[in-house]
Amino acid sequence: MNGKFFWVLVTAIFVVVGHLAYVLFIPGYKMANKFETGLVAQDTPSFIRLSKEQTMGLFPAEDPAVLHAVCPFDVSQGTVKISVAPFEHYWSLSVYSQKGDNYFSINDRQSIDSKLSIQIRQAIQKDETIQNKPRELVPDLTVIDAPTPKGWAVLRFRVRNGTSRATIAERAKSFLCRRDNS
Amino acid sequence: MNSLVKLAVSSIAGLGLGVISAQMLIDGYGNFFSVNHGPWTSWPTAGTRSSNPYVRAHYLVHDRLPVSQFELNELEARVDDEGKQLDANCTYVVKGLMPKTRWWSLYTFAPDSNNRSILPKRAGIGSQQVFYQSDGSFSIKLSGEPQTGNWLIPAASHEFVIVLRHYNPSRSITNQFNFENLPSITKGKCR
Repeated sequence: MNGKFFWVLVTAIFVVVGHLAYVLFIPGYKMANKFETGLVAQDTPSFIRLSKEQTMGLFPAEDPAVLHAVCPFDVSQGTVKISVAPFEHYWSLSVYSQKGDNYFSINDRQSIDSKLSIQIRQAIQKDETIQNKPRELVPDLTVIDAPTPKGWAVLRFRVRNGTSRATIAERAKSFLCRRDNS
Repeated sequence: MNSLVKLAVSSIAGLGLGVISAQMLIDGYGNFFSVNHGPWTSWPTAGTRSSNPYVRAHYLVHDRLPVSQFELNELEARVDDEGKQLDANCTYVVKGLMPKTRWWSLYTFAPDSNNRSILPKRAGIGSQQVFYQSDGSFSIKLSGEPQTGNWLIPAASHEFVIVLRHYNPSRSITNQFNFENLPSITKGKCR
């Protein structure tokens, strides 16, 4: 093989490796890194309402008009339940895999009477939970199969001014994210 | 020895080119995964099952989370109407009408994390805070210096991106991507 051609080929292989590594691994690494930060790392899942400063630290390029509450979870340790109480203002819930894929999304207008109950589980947990229970015991429950054990549930609330940020943060306490022991 | 040097050079050059080409695609160069509407760019598959690693990376590399287009429709502008990169040292006027949506917000961010400034108080503006003209249009000034009327301070020291988010957009927006009357971005004076 021609020496020059060989080194061009080796360089091209490195181009492909560098390109794919950057596209496939860096975003997932950034998300996983955020998952492990002291700001959100916790043993049991629950919503953490982020202050403006915390949002800037975690997602510095997110909309400042939105109050974020995040619940990092790990369904390998059991199913996770998210409950949304009636809330008269705009809210939306997005569930992300650890790699940052948005696999579930809903907002106040799409939910019934602005309330919602969802259960996030691993596909392997299917037979152990809902399917073994009579249907009437789990009314209005939306079940989601998580593509990865770890993930994030992100709540977004609209904030109009400084006062309403505090008010909404207080009201957002009625939104629950917890280990499902039912 | 000669081969080791050649291997080192080809690996550094190759990996560097790989990262640069990936970053260019992630930023939307070539519009392989994004759609341009004048100075505005949208990423139609963001937050959907048909999304691909480049679209996902576009959001996550810049510390944002992709959101389903049925939840919100997002447009970004890295350039003004003349195609020149937005610079925090200049004043810009964003002017026009908004498509039908439940509410919208407009804010800025610095794509380069080293260029990020402390979030200014006037970092974003929403549909209920803006002063509208009698015909329903609006005009927002983006400047580091005080301005009259609707005024935003770019959250960057140099290059920045304007983000326009339509929350709960109407079906015509999400299905057809009909963005013919998006706001214009006109450059004014620079410091």
